[in-house]
Amino acid sequence: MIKRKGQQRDGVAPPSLKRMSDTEHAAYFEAFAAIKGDYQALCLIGDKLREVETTACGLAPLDSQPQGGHAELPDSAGGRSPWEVCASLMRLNNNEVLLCKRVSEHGLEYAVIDQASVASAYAKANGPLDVLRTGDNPRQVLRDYLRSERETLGLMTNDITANVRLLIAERFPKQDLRRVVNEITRMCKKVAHLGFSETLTEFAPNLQKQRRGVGI
Amino acid sequence: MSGNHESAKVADPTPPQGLTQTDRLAYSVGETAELLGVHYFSVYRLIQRGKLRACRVLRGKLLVPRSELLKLLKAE
Repeated sequence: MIKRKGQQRDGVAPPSLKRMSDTEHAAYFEAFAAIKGDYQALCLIGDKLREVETTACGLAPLDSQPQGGHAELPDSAGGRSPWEVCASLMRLNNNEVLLCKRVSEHGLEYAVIDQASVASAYAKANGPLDVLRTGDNPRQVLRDYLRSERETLGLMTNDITANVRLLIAERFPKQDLRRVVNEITRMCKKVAHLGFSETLTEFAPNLQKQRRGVGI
Repeated sequence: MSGNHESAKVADPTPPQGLTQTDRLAYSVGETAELLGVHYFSVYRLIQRGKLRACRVLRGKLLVPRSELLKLLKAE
């Protein structure tokens, strides 16, 4: 059995793979070892997005926004006011996803921005800021951002399971190991989905705290 | 978080060596992330948003053509 975060519980088969053959057992653990890092990343990103979802539910009213004292990101298009960082939504190694705002001609504008390291090849060619979503309603901006991240998680899950299929086909040719592939696929999809499943009910007691704590 | 981003923008669009000195035709998402210097979830995001084209080959595995990577790095 592989627990969340990728730790193995030695010698225990996943529930859906009870009575598995020796080959299935070997294939399961070999395939999982190969994608363990990806599986952990899936868990981590799922957890972080769930936190973002909680934050989105508990946004402070707009008239209680704190003013000043926040970091600023220059608009790469130039000639427009810089983005003021409201909150860090997620940090993954060199990348940080930020909720930002600025004053535009039509009032306040909000954005979710992926900031890459300035030293990266991507930033050198395209600038370090990738604006993922913009709008005048911060809740809607965050909701749209979460929806698109969910799709990206789905893409990542499909790629991970493709790697599993590939590895099993190479290492265990001419053997029917669909049960193993299906089990690992199910686990990855569950983890990716978990990031969003128990949102409002599970976190309802924390909402009051969030409302006071998060201001944009 | 703030400060020198503007000055660093488009400072040196030379693609990383791993991309120029190779006869590879395509890269996995992990390799692409390494070449771009970003987290691989950002690469999936670029693919999802259509900013980076990828192909599905070999049982559905995503591969990024070298030409697409060079296009993204404005090195073509």
